[in-house]
Amino acid sequence: MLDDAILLWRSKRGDRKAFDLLYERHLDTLLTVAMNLLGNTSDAEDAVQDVFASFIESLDTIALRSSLRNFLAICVANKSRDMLRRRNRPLADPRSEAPPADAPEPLELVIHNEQVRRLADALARLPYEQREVIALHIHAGLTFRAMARALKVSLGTVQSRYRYGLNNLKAALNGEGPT
Amino acid sequence: MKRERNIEDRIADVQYRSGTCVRERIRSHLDKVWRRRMSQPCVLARFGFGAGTLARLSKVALIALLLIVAGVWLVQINKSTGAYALEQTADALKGIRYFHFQFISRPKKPAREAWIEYDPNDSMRDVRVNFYDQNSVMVWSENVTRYWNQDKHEVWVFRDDEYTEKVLYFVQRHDPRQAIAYLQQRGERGGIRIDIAQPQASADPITVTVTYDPNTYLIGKAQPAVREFYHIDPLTKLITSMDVETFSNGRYMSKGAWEYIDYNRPFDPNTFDLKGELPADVSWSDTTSIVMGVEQGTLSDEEVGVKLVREFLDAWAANDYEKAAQIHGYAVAGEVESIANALGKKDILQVVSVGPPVRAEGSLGGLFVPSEVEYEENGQKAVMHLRTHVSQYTKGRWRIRDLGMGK
Repeated sequence: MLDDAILLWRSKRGDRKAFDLLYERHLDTLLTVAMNLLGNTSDAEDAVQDVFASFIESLDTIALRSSLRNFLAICVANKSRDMLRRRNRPLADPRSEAPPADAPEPLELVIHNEQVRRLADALARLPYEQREVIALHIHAGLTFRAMARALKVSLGTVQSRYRYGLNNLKAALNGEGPT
Repeated sequence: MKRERNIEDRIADVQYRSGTCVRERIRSHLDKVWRRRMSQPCVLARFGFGAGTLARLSKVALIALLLIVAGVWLVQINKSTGAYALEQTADALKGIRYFHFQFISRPKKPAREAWIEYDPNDSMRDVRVNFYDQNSVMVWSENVTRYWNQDKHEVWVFRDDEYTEKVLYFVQRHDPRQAIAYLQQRGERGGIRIDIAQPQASADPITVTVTYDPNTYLIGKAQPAVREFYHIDPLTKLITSMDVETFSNGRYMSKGAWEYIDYNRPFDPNTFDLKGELPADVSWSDTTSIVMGVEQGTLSDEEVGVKLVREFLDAWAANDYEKAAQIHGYAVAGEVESIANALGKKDILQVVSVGPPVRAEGSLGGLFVPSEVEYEENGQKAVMHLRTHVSQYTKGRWRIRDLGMGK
Protein backbone atom coordinates (compact mmCIF):
# COMPACT_ATOMS: atom_id res chain seq x y z
CA MET A 1 0.00 0.00 0.00
CA LEU A 2 1.42 3.36 -0.99
CA ASP A 3 2.19 5.73 1.81
CA ASP A 4 -0.12 8.72 2.29
CA ALA A 5 2.82 11.08 1.86
CA ILE A 6 3.57 9.66 -1.61
CA LEU A 7 -0.08 9.84 -2.61
CA LEU A 8 -0.23 13.41 -1.35
CA TRP A 9 2.86 14.31 -3.36
CA ARG A 10 1.36 12.73 -6.47
CA SER A 11 -1.94 14.52 -5.86
CA LYS A 12 -0.07 17.80 -5.71
CA ARG A 13 1.35 16.97 -9.14
CA GLY A 14 -2.18 16.53 -10.50
CA ASP A 15 -2.48 12.74 -10.22
CA ARG A 16 -6.20 12.19 -9.80
CA LYS A 17 -5.83 8.46 -9.11
CA ALA A 18 -3.61 9.23 -6.16
CA PHE A 19 -6.22 11.58 -4.75
CA ASP A 20 -8.93 8.96 -5.27
CA LEU A 21 -6.88 6.46 -3.26
CA LEU A 22 -6.58 8.95 -0.42
CA TYR A 23 -10.30 9.67 -0.63
CA GLU A 24 -11.25 6.00 -0.46
CA ARG A 25 -8.76 5.35 2.31
CA HIS A 26 -9.96 8.08 4.67
CA LEU A 27 -13.61 8.66 3.77
CA ASP A 28 -15.22 6.30 6.25
CA THR A 29 -12.98 7.36 9.15
CA LEU A 30 -13.83 10.99 8.51
CA LEU A 31 -17.53 10.22 8.18
CA THR A 32 -17.38 8.34 11.47
CA VAL A 33 -15.73 11.31 13.20
CA ALA A 34 -18.26 13.69 11.64
CA MET A 35 -21.21 11.47 12.58
CA ASN A 36 -20.02 11.31 16.17
CA LEU A 37 -19.69 15.08 16.28
CA LEU A 38 -22.74 16.17 14.31
CA GLY A 39 -25.17 13.34 14.88
CA ASN A 40 -26.86 13.33 11.48
CA THR A 41 -25.88 11.93 8.13
CA SER A 42 -26.61 14.97 6.07
CA ASP A 43 -24.40 17.31 8.08
CA ALA A 44 -21.68 14.67 8.39
CA GLU A 45 -21.64 14.19 4.63
CA ASP A 46 -21.46 17.94 4.09
CA ALA A 47 -18.65 18.40 6.57
CA VAL A 48 -16.54 15.67 5.00
CA GLN A 49 -17.27 16.88 1.49
CA ASP A 50 -16.23 20.41 2.39
CA VAL A 51 -13.05 19.17 4.03
CA PHE A 52 -12.06 17.17 0.94
CA ALA A 53 -12.94 20.12 -1.30
CA SER A 54 -10.77 22.46 0.79
CA PHE A 55 -8.06 19.82 0.75
CA ILE A 56 -8.05 19.88 -3.07
CA GLU A 57 -8.15 23.66 -3.14
CA SER A 58 -5.16 23.98 -0.84
CA LEU A 59 -3.07 21.04 -2.05
CA ASP A 60 -0.27 23.44 -2.95
CA THR A 61 0.12 24.75 0.55
CA ILE A 62 -0.42 21.62 2.63
CA ALA A 63 2.67 20.72 4.61
CA LEU A 64 1.98 17.79 6.92
CA ARG A 65 3.39 17.85 10.43
CA SER A 66 1.58 14.66 11.43
CA SER A 67 -0.28 11.95 9.55
CA LEU A 68 -2.72 12.89 6.81
CA ARG A 69 -5.51 11.13 8.67
CA ASN A 70 -4.87 13.28 11.75
CA PHE A 71 -4.78 16.40 9.62
CA LEU A 72 -8.07 15.61 7.88
CA ALA A 73 -9.76 14.54 11.13
CA ILE A 74 -8.87 17.87 12.76
CA CYS A 75 -10.26 19.67 9.71
CA VAL A 76 -13.52 17.69 10.11
CA ALA A 77 -13.66 18.62 13.80
CA ASN A 78 -13.15 22.31 13.02
CA LYS A 79 -15.76 22.19 10.28
CA SER A 80 -18.22 20.38 12.56
CA ARG A 81 -17.80 23.01 15.26
CA ASP A 82 -18.59 25.75 12.75
CA MET A 83 -21.66 23.88 11.57
CA LEU A 84 -22.92 23.37 15.10
CA ARG A 85 -22.50 27.07 15.86
CA ARG A 86 -24.69 27.86 12.88
CA ARG A 87 -27.19 25.20 13.91
CA ASN A 88 -27.53 26.75 17.38
CA ARG A 89 -29.43 29.70 15.98
CA PRO A 90 -32.86 29.64 17.58
CA LEU A 91 -34.78 29.92 14.31
CA ALA A 92 -33.99 29.31 10.70
CA ASP A 93 -33.08 32.53 8.97
CA PRO A 94 -34.97 32.62 5.69
CA ARG A 95 -32.29 34.84 4.18
CA SER A 96 -29.54 32.29 4.27
CA GLU A 97 -28.95 29.43 1.90
CA ALA A 98 -28.38 26.37 3.96
CA PRO A 99 -26.71 22.98 4.04
CA PRO A 100 -28.51 20.17 2.27
CA ALA A 101 -31.42 18.20 3.60
CA ASP A 102 -31.15 14.64 4.88
CA ALA A 103 -29.36 12.26 2.60
CA PRO A 104 -31.62 9.73 0.92
CA GLU A 105 -29.13 7.00 1.77
CA PRO A 106 -28.10 7.31 5.42
CA LEU A 107 -24.74 6.13 6.64
CA GLU A 108 -24.82 2.75 8.24
CA LEU A 109 -23.24 1.53 11.43
CA VAL A 110 -20.65 -1.05 10.50
CA ILE A 111 -21.66 -3.31 13.39
CA HIS A 112 -25.35 -2.90 13.71
CA ASN A 113 -26.61 -4.34 16.93
CA GLU A 114 -28.57 -2.94 19.82
CA GLN A 115 -25.51 -2.40 22.02
CA VAL A 116 -23.66 -0.39 19.41
CA ARG A 117 -26.78 1.58 18.59
CA ARG A 118 -27.25 2.40 22.27
CA LEU A 119 -23.63 3.45 22.59
CA ALA A 120 -23.92 5.64 19.51
CA ASP A 121 -26.98 7.33 21.03
CA ALA A 122 -25.19 7.82 24.35
CA LEU A 123 -22.19 9.33 22.52
CA ALA A 124 -24.48 11.75 20.74
CA ARG A 125 -25.77 13.03 24.09
CA LEU A 126 -22.32 13.89 25.45
CA PRO A 127 -21.23 17.54 25.54
CA TYR A 128 -19.54 18.48 22.28
CA GLU A 129 -16.04 18.95 23.73
CA GLN A 130 -16.11 15.44 25.21
CA ARG A 131 -17.45 13.88 21.98
CA GLU A 132 -14.73 15.69 20.07
CA VAL A 133 -11.77 14.31 22.00
CA ILE A 134 -13.27 10.82 22.14
CA ALA A 135 -13.92 10.70 18.38
CA LEU A 136 -10.53 12.16 17.49
CA HIS A 137 -8.65 9.84 19.83
CA ILE A 138 -10.48 6.60 19.26
CA HIS A 139 -11.57 6.88 15.64
CA ALA A 140 -8.86 9.07 14.12
CA GLY A 141 -6.03 7.92 16.39
CA LEU A 142 -4.90 11.38 17.49
CA THR A 143 -2.75 11.54 20.59
CA PHE A 144 -3.84 13.80 23.45
CA ARG A 145 -0.84 16.00 22.82
CA ALA A 146 -1.68 16.40 19.12
CA MET A 147 -5.27 17.23 20.02
CA ALA A 148 -4.20 19.81 22.58
CA ARG A 149 -2.06 21.49 19.91
CA ALA A 150 -4.77 21.41 17.27
CA LEU A 151 -7.63 22.46 19.54
CA LYS A 152 -5.47 25.12 21.23
CA VAL A 153 -6.22 23.89 24.76
CA SER A 154 -3.96 22.45 27.42
CA LEU A 155 -3.02 18.80 27.57
CA GLY A 156 -4.77 18.53 30.94
CA THR A 157 -7.99 19.92 29.47
CA VAL A 158 -7.97 17.33 26.70
CA GLN A 159 -7.31 14.53 29.16
CA SER A 160 -10.02 15.62 31.56
CA ARG A 161 -12.55 16.04 28.73
CA TYR A 162 -11.73 12.54 27.63
CA ARG A 163 -12.00 11.11 31.14
CA TYR A 164 -15.28 12.91 31.86
CA GLY A 165 -16.60 11.75 28.50
CA LEU A 166 -15.86 8.11 29.23
CA ASN A 167 -17.31 8.42 32.74
CA ASN A 168 -20.46 10.04 31.40
CA LEU A 169 -20.80 7.32 28.80
CA LYS A 170 -20.41 4.58 31.37
CA ALA A 171 -22.95 6.27 33.62
CA ALA A 172 -25.40 6.63 30.73
CA LEU A 173 -25.01 2.99 29.74
CA ASN A 174 -25.25 1.72 33.28
CA GLY A 175 -28.43 3.71 33.72
CA GLU A 176 -29.97 1.71 30.93
CA GLY A 177 -29.19 -1.63 32.51
CA PRO A 178 -26.53 -4.18 31.69
CA THR A 179 -24.98 -3.96 28.26
CA MET B 1 -8.19 0.81 34.00
CA LYS B 2 -9.29 -2.45 32.49
CA ARG B 3 -12.89 -1.26 32.50
CA GLU B 4 -11.75 1.93 30.73
CA ARG B 5 -10.17 -0.10 27.91
CA ASN B 6 -13.40 -1.99 27.64
CA ILE B 7 -15.50 1.12 27.00
CA GLU B 8 -12.90 2.43 24.55
CA ASP B 9 -13.04 -0.82 22.60
CA ARG B 10 -16.79 -0.59 22.47
CA ILE B 11 -16.66 3.03 21.28
CA ALA B 12 -14.28 1.91 18.54
CA ASP B 13 -17.11 -0.30 17.27
CA VAL B 14 -19.26 2.78 16.59
CA GLN B 15 -18.05 3.18 13.03
CA TYR B 16 -20.02 4.37 10.06
CA ARG B 17 -19.71 3.13 6.52
CA SER B 18 -20.63 5.13 3.46
CA GLY B 19 -22.81 3.47 0.84
CA THR B 20 -22.03 3.76 -2.86
CA CYS B 21 -24.53 6.55 -3.23
CA VAL B 22 -22.93 8.77 -0.56
CA ARG B 23 -19.44 8.03 -1.84
CA GLU B 24 -20.34 8.86 -5.43
CA ARG B 25 -22.28 11.96 -4.48
CA ILE B 26 -19.30 13.43 -2.67
CA ARG B 27 -16.94 12.27 -5.42
CA SER B 28 -19.06 13.94 -8.07
CA HIS B 29 -18.77 17.26 -6.24
CA LEU B 30 -15.04 16.77 -5.77
CA ASP B 31 -14.70 16.09 -9.52
CA LYS B 32 -15.79 19.64 -10.21
CA VAL B 33 -13.48 21.06 -7.55
CA TRP B 34 -10.60 19.02 -8.93
CA ARG B 35 -11.20 20.11 -12.54
CA ARG B 36 -11.46 23.73 -11.51
CA ARG B 37 -8.28 23.58 -9.49
CA MET B 38 -6.35 21.84 -12.23
CA SER B 39 -7.26 24.63 -14.62
CA GLN B 40 -5.66 27.25 -12.35
CA PRO B 41 -2.49 28.92 -13.64
CA CYS B 42 -0.49 27.87 -10.58
CA VAL B 43 -1.21 24.23 -11.40
CA LEU B 44 -0.29 24.70 -15.05
CA ALA B 45 2.91 26.29 -13.85
CA ARG B 46 3.82 23.12 -11.96
CA PHE B 47 3.51 21.18 -15.20
CA GLY B 48 6.00 23.49 -16.86
CA PHE B 49 3.68 26.06 -18.42
CA GLY B 50 4.77 29.03 -16.35
CA ALA B 51 6.45 32.37 -16.77
CA GLY B 52 9.45 30.71 -18.36
CA THR B 53 7.31 29.27 -21.12
CA LEU B 54 5.77 32.64 -21.83
CA ALA B 55 9.21 34.18 -22.02
CA ARG B 56 10.18 31.65 -24.64
CA LEU B 57 7.24 32.55 -26.88
CA SER B 58 8.11 34.71 -29.83
CA LYS B 59 6.81 38.24 -30.09
CA VAL B 60 4.66 37.21 -33.05
CA ALA B 61 3.02 34.46 -31.01
CA LEU B 62 2.37 36.89 -28.20
CA ILE B 63 0.71 39.37 -30.54
CA ALA B 64 -1.43 36.58 -31.98
CA LEU B 65 -2.46 35.57 -28.46
CA LEU B 66 -3.38 39.15 -27.59
CA LEU B 67 -5.47 39.44 -30.76
CA ILE B 68 -7.38 36.29 -29.86
CA VAL B 69 -8.05 37.59 -26.34
CA ALA B 70 -9.20 40.93 -27.73
CA GLY B 71 -11.48 39.13 -30.19
CA VAL B 72 -13.11 37.08 -27.47
CA TRP B 73 -13.54 40.22 -25.38
CA LEU B 74 -15.21 42.04 -28.28
CA VAL B 75 -17.64 39.15 -28.81
CA GLN B 76 -18.57 39.33 -25.13
CA ILE B 77 -19.09 43.10 -25.34
CA ASN B 78 -21.26 42.58 -28.39
CA LYS B 79 -23.36 40.03 -26.54
CA SER B 80 -23.73 42.28 -23.52
CA THR B 81 -25.14 45.13 -25.52
CA GLY B 82 -28.00 43.04 -26.98
CA ALA B 83 -31.65 43.95 -26.88
CA TYR B 84 -32.48 42.41 -23.54
CA ALA B 85 -32.68 44.63 -20.46
CA LEU B 86 -33.84 43.95 -16.90
CA GLU B 87 -36.86 46.18 -17.50
CA GLN B 88 -38.32 43.51 -19.77
CA THR B 89 -38.36 41.00 -16.92
CA ALA B 90 -39.73 43.67 -14.57
CA ASP B 91 -42.58 44.26 -17.04
CA ALA B 92 -43.25 40.53 -17.45
CA LEU B 93 -43.58 40.17 -13.69
CA LYS B 94 -46.17 42.92 -13.27
CA GLY B 95 -49.51 41.68 -11.97
CA ILE B 96 -48.18 38.30 -10.83
CA ARG B 97 -49.60 37.45 -7.40
CA TYR B 98 -48.27 33.94 -6.76
CA PHE B 99 -44.59 32.99 -6.64
CA HIS B 100 -43.39 29.47 -5.94
CA PHE B 101 -39.69 28.59 -5.91
CA GLN B 102 -37.11 26.42 -4.20
CA PHE B 103 -33.43 26.38 -3.34
CA ILE B 104 -31.46 23.32 -4.39
CA SER B 105 -28.20 23.19 -2.52
CA ARG B 106 -25.28 21.18 -3.73
CA PRO B 107 -25.15 18.30 -4.30
CA LYS B 108 -28.69 18.51 -5.62
CA LYS B 109 -30.71 18.48 -2.46
CA PRO B 110 -33.83 20.61 -1.93
CA ALA B 111 -33.08 22.79 1.07
CA ARG B 112 -35.79 25.46 0.90
CA GLU B 113 -39.14 25.84 -0.78
CA ALA B 114 -41.09 29.08 -0.70
CA TRP B 115 -44.56 30.33 -1.55
CA ILE B 116 -45.36 34.05 -1.62
CA GLU B 117 -48.80 35.50 -2.22
CA TYR B 118 -49.70 39.13 -2.90
CA ASP B 119 -53.13 40.69 -2.65
CA PRO B 120 -54.73 42.42 -5.67
CA ASN B 121 -53.19 45.73 -4.53
CA ASP B 122 -49.68 44.25 -4.77
CA SER B 123 -49.20 44.14 -1.01
CA MET B 124 -47.47 41.05 0.31
CA ARG B 125 -50.04 38.94 2.14
CA ASP B 126 -48.52 35.58 3.09
CA VAL B 127 -45.13 33.87 2.98
CA ARG B 128 -44.35 30.24 3.59
CA VAL B 129 -40.87 28.71 3.66
CA ASN B 130 -40.23 25.00 4.17
CA PHE B 131 -36.76 24.49 5.62
CA TYR B 132 -36.14 20.90 4.54
CA ASP B 133 -32.59 21.03 5.86
CA GLN B 134 -33.80 21.98 9.34
CA ASN B 135 -37.08 20.05 9.47
CA SER B 136 -39.12 23.15 10.00
CA VAL B 137 -41.78 25.27 8.35
CA MET B 138 -42.30 29.01 8.68
CA VAL B 139 -45.52 30.79 7.80
CA TRP B 140 -45.60 34.57 8.03
CA SER B 141 -48.66 36.75 7.80
CA GLU B 142 -49.32 40.30 9.01
CA ASN B 143 -46.15 40.44 11.16
CA VAL B 144 -47.04 37.22 12.97
CA THR B 145 -44.82 34.19 12.40
CA ARG B 146 -45.85 30.60 12.97
CA TYR B 147 -42.79 28.39 13.17
CA TRP B 148 -43.22 24.61 13.19
CA ASN B 149 -40.18 22.72 14.48
CA GLN B 150 -40.88 19.20 13.28
CA ASP B 151 -38.09 17.62 15.31
CA LYS B 152 -39.41 19.07 18.54
CA HIS B 153 -43.10 18.69 17.64
CA GLU B 154 -43.62 22.34 18.51
CA VAL B 155 -45.23 25.32 16.89
CA TRP B 156 -44.18 28.76 18.09
CA VAL B 157 -46.37 31.70 17.24
CA PHE B 158 -44.68 35.03 17.79
CA ARG B 159 -44.53 38.65 16.75
CA ASP B 160 -40.96 39.84 16.28
CA ASP B 161 -39.90 42.89 14.31
CA GLU B 162 -36.42 41.54 13.66
CA TYR B 163 -37.67 38.23 12.33
CA THR B 164 -40.19 40.04 10.14
CA GLU B 165 -37.33 42.09 8.78
CA LYS B 166 -35.53 38.87 7.84
CA VAL B 167 -38.62 37.54 6.09
CA LEU B 168 -39.01 40.78 4.15
CA TYR B 169 -35.34 40.71 3.19
CA PHE B 170 -35.70 37.12 2.00
CA VAL B 171 -38.66 38.16 -0.16
CA GLN B 172 -36.78 41.16 -1.45
CA ARG B 173 -33.93 38.98 -2.64
CA HIS B 174 -35.79 35.97 -3.98
CA ASP B 175 -39.28 36.94 -5.01
CA PRO B 176 -38.45 37.57 -8.70
CA ARG B 177 -40.31 40.87 -8.93
CA GLN B 178 -38.61 42.37 -5.90
CA ALA B 179 -35.28 40.78 -6.80
CA ILE B 180 -35.24 42.50 -10.18
CA ALA B 181 -36.26 45.83 -8.66
CA TYR B 182 -33.51 45.36 -6.07
CA LEU B 183 -30.92 44.68 -8.78
CA GLN B 184 -31.98 47.75 -10.70
CA GLN B 185 -31.59 49.91 -7.59
CA ARG B 186 -28.31 48.32 -6.54
CA GLY B 187 -26.94 48.62 -10.08
CA GLU B 188 -27.41 52.37 -9.84
CA ARG B 189 -25.93 52.62 -6.34
CA GLY B 190 -22.79 50.62 -7.15
CA GLY B 191 -21.07 47.78 -5.32
CA ILE B 192 -22.38 45.25 -7.82
CA ARG B 193 -21.72 44.61 -11.50
CA ILE B 194 -24.42 43.37 -13.87
CA ASP B 195 -23.44 41.65 -17.12
CA ILE B 196 -26.00 40.44 -19.62
CA ALA B 197 -25.19 37.68 -22.07
CA GLN B 198 -27.71 37.20 -24.84
CA PRO B 199 -27.11 34.00 -26.81
CA GLN B 200 -26.98 33.83 -30.60
CA ALA B 201 -29.73 31.20 -30.70
CA SER B 202 -33.01 32.85 -29.79
CA ALA B 203 -34.28 29.78 -27.93
CA ASP B 204 -31.38 29.72 -25.48
CA PRO B 205 -31.83 31.40 -22.10
CA ILE B 206 -30.49 34.86 -21.45
CA THR B 207 -27.98 34.96 -18.59
CA VAL B 208 -27.70 37.92 -16.26
CA THR B 209 -24.55 37.71 -14.15
CA VAL B 210 -24.54 39.78 -10.99
CA THR B 211 -21.23 40.12 -9.16
CA TYR B 212 -21.36 41.54 -5.65
CA ASP B 213 -18.25 43.14 -4.18
CA PRO B 214 -17.19 41.67 -0.83
CA ASN B 215 -19.50 42.72 2.05
CA THR B 216 -22.32 43.87 -0.21
CA TYR B 217 -24.42 40.70 -0.62
CA LEU B 218 -26.07 40.85 2.78
CA ILE B 219 -26.10 44.45 3.83
CA GLY B 220 -23.96 45.13 6.87
CA LYS B 221 -22.63 41.57 7.03
CA ALA B 222 -19.01 40.67 6.39
CA GLN B 223 -19.13 38.38 3.37
CA PRO B 224 -16.88 37.39 0.50
CA ALA B 225 -17.75 38.32 -3.07
CA VAL B 226 -20.87 36.58 -4.37
CA ARG B 227 -21.92 35.87 -7.93
CA GLU B 228 -25.47 35.15 -9.11
CA PHE B 229 -26.45 33.86 -12.54
CA TYR B 230 -30.05 34.62 -13.44
CA HIS B 231 -31.32 32.47 -16.30
CA ILE B 232 -34.09 34.25 -18.19
CA ASP B 233 -36.56 32.58 -20.53
CA PRO B 234 -36.05 34.39 -23.88
CA LEU B 235 -39.75 34.14 -24.74
CA THR B 236 -41.56 35.05 -21.50
CA LYS B 237 -38.60 37.02 -20.02
CA LEU B 238 -39.33 35.34 -16.67
CA ILE B 239 -36.55 34.00 -14.45
CA THR B 240 -36.31 30.22 -14.64
CA SER B 241 -33.45 29.70 -12.20
CA MET B 242 -30.60 31.48 -10.43
CA ASP B 243 -27.23 29.91 -9.54
CA VAL B 244 -25.30 31.25 -6.55
CA GLU B 245 -21.53 31.13 -6.08
CA THR B 246 -19.39 32.56 -3.31
CA PHE B 247 -15.74 33.49 -3.55
CA SER B 248 -13.62 31.27 -1.38
CA ASN B 249 -9.97 30.24 -1.38
CA GLY B 250 -9.22 32.26 -4.47
CA ARG B 251 -12.11 31.04 -6.63
CA TYR B 252 -15.87 30.95 -6.91
CA MET B 253 -17.59 27.93 -5.35
CA SER B 254 -21.16 26.85 -6.11
CA LYS B 255 -23.64 27.17 -3.26
CA GLY B 256 -26.64 25.89 -5.17
CA ALA B 257 -29.50 27.21 -7.28
CA TRP B 258 -32.90 28.78 -6.86
CA GLU B 259 -35.44 27.25 -9.21
CA TYR B 260 -38.60 29.15 -10.02
CA ILE B 261 -41.32 26.54 -10.25
CA ASP B 262 -44.58 28.39 -10.97
CA TYR B 263 -45.66 31.89 -11.78
CA ASN B 264 -49.17 33.01 -10.93
CA ARG B 265 -50.61 29.58 -10.31
CA PRO B 266 -52.99 30.04 -7.34
CA PHE B 267 -51.94 28.09 -4.27
CA ASP B 268 -53.86 25.45 -2.39
CA PRO B 269 -56.07 27.38 0.08
CA ASN B 270 -54.36 25.56 2.99
CA THR B 271 -50.82 26.53 2.00
CA PHE B 272 -50.59 29.19 4.70
CA ASP B 273 -52.65 27.36 7.31
CA LEU B 274 -50.44 24.92 9.18
CA LYS B 275 -53.21 23.43 11.25
CA GLY B 276 -54.29 20.95 8.60
CA GLU B 277 -50.76 19.49 8.46
CA LEU B 278 -49.83 19.35 12.12
CA PRO B 279 -49.68 16.01 13.89
CA ALA B 280 -52.07 15.59 16.80
CA ASP B 281 -49.33 15.57 19.44
CA VAL B 282 -47.71 18.87 18.43
CA SER B 283 -47.44 21.46 21.19
CA TRP B 284 -48.52 25.01 20.40
CA SER B 285 -46.83 27.99 22.09
CA ASP B 286 -48.44 31.29 21.23
CA THR B 287 -46.37 34.16 22.59
CA THR B 288 -48.11 36.92 20.66
CA SER B 289 -49.97 37.99 23.79
CA ILE B 290 -46.99 37.45 26.17
CA VAL B 291 -44.69 40.31 27.03
CA MET B 292 -41.19 38.85 26.59
CA GLY B 293 -37.75 40.04 27.62
CA VAL B 294 -37.23 43.21 29.63
CA GLU B 295 -38.31 46.80 29.15
CA GLN B 296 -35.58 49.26 28.17
CA GLY B 297 -37.18 52.33 29.71
CA THR B 298 -34.53 54.98 30.28
CA LEU B 299 -31.65 52.49 30.33
CA SER B 300 -28.92 52.63 27.71
CA ASP B 301 -28.53 49.64 25.36
CA GLU B 302 -25.56 48.40 27.39
CA GLU B 303 -27.44 48.73 30.69
CA VAL B 304 -30.52 46.91 29.45
CA GLY B 305 -28.31 44.15 27.96
CA VAL B 306 -26.67 43.52 31.34
CA LYS B 307 -30.02 43.68 33.14
CA LEU B 308 -31.57 41.17 30.74
CA VAL B 309 -28.77 38.62 31.07
CA ARG B 310 -28.53 38.99 34.85
CA GLU B 311 -32.28 38.52 35.34
CA PHE B 312 -32.23 35.47 33.09
CA LEU B 313 -29.29 33.86 34.87
CA ASP B 314 -30.75 34.62 38.32
CA ALA B 315 -34.01 32.96 37.30
CA TRP B 316 -32.10 30.00 35.92
CA ALA B 317 -30.02 29.67 39.10
CA ALA B 318 -33.25 29.70 41.12
CA ASN B 319 -34.68 26.95 38.84
CA ASP B 320 -37.49 29.36 37.96
CA TYR B 321 -37.86 28.14 34.39
CA GLU B 322 -41.13 29.95 33.77
CA LYS B 323 -39.50 33.28 34.50
CA ALA B 324 -36.35 32.36 32.56
CA ALA B 325 -38.51 31.45 29.57
CA GLN B 326 -40.41 34.73 29.76
CA ILE B 327 -37.15 36.66 29.78
CA HIS B 328 -35.51 34.50 27.11
CA GLY B 329 -38.17 35.14 24.53
CA TYR B 330 -38.60 32.28 22.09
CA ALA B 331 -37.89 29.52 24.52
CA VAL B 332 -40.85 27.97 26.22
CA ALA B 333 -40.35 26.76 29.78
CA GLY B 334 -39.56 23.19 28.82
CA GLU B 335 -36.84 24.31 26.48
CA VAL B 336 -35.01 26.35 29.09
CA GLU B 337 -35.15 23.29 31.30
CA SER B 338 -33.74 21.19 28.50
CA ILE B 339 -30.90 23.69 28.05
CA ALA B 340 -30.17 23.25 31.75
CA ASN B 341 -30.26 19.49 31.35
CA ALA B 342 -27.93 19.69 28.38
CA LEU B 343 -25.31 21.09 30.71
CA GLY B 344 -25.31 17.83 32.57
CA LYS B 345 -25.80 17.65 36.29
CA LYS B 346 -24.60 21.16 36.98
CA ASP B 347 -26.07 23.10 39.86
CA ILE B 348 -25.64 26.82 39.38
CA LEU B 349 -24.24 28.27 42.59
CA GLN B 350 -23.99 31.92 41.70
CA VAL B 351 -23.71 34.44 38.89
CA VAL B 352 -20.13 35.67 39.20
CA SER B 353 -20.18 38.53 36.70
CA VAL B 354 -22.21 39.99 33.84
CA GLY B 355 -20.79 42.38 31.26
CA PRO B 356 -19.46 44.63 29.99
CA PRO B 357 -21.34 44.19 26.68
CA VAL B 358 -19.85 44.69 23.23
CA ARG B 359 -21.70 45.70 20.07
CA ALA B 360 -22.51 42.85 17.68
CA GLU B 361 -20.93 43.54 14.32
CA GLY B 362 -22.62 43.54 10.93
CA SER B 363 -26.26 42.72 10.37
CA LEU B 364 -26.60 40.73 13.61
CA GLY B 365 -27.53 43.81 15.60
CA GLY B 366 -27.74 44.04 19.36
CA LEU B 367 -25.02 43.26 21.86
CA PHE B 368 -22.93 40.39 23.10
CA VAL B 369 -23.00 40.22 26.90
CA PRO B 370 -20.26 38.10 28.50
CA SER B 371 -20.95 36.46 31.83
CA GLU B 372 -19.44 33.97 34.28
CA VAL B 373 -21.51 31.49 36.22
CA GLU B 374 -20.20 29.32 39.03
CA TYR B 375 -21.63 25.81 39.06
CA GLU B 376 -21.06 22.50 40.73
CA GLU B 377 -20.61 19.25 38.88
CA ASN B 378 -19.73 15.90 40.34
CA GLY B 379 -19.00 17.63 43.63
CA GLN B 380 -16.51 20.05 42.05
CA LYS B 381 -16.92 23.77 41.54
CA ALA B 382 -16.24 25.25 38.12
CA VAL B 383 -16.92 28.43 36.18
CA MET B 384 -18.87 28.52 32.92
CA HIS B 385 -18.40 31.40 30.45
CA LEU B 386 -21.29 32.60 28.33
CA ARG B 387 -21.41 35.14 25.53
CA THR B 388 -25.08 35.95 25.22
CA HIS B 389 -26.47 37.71 22.17
CA VAL B 390 -29.27 40.14 23.09
CA SER B 391 -31.21 42.60 20.97
CA GLN B 392 -34.29 44.76 20.82
CA TYR B 393 -37.06 42.57 19.39
CA THR B 394 -39.76 45.19 19.36
CA LYS B 395 -39.84 48.84 20.22
CA GLY B 396 -38.58 49.34 23.78
CA ARG B 397 -38.15 45.64 24.69
CA TRP B 398 -35.04 43.47 24.60
CA ARG B 399 -34.70 39.72 24.65
CA ILE B 400 -32.08 36.97 24.34
CA ARG B 401 -31.25 35.80 20.82
CA ASP B 402 -28.66 33.20 21.64
CA LEU B 403 -27.53 32.10 25.06
CA GLY B 404 -23.96 31.65 23.81
CA MET B 405 -22.86 28.77 25.99
CA GLY B 406 -19.29 27.63 25.54
CA LYS B 407 -18.25 30.73 23.56
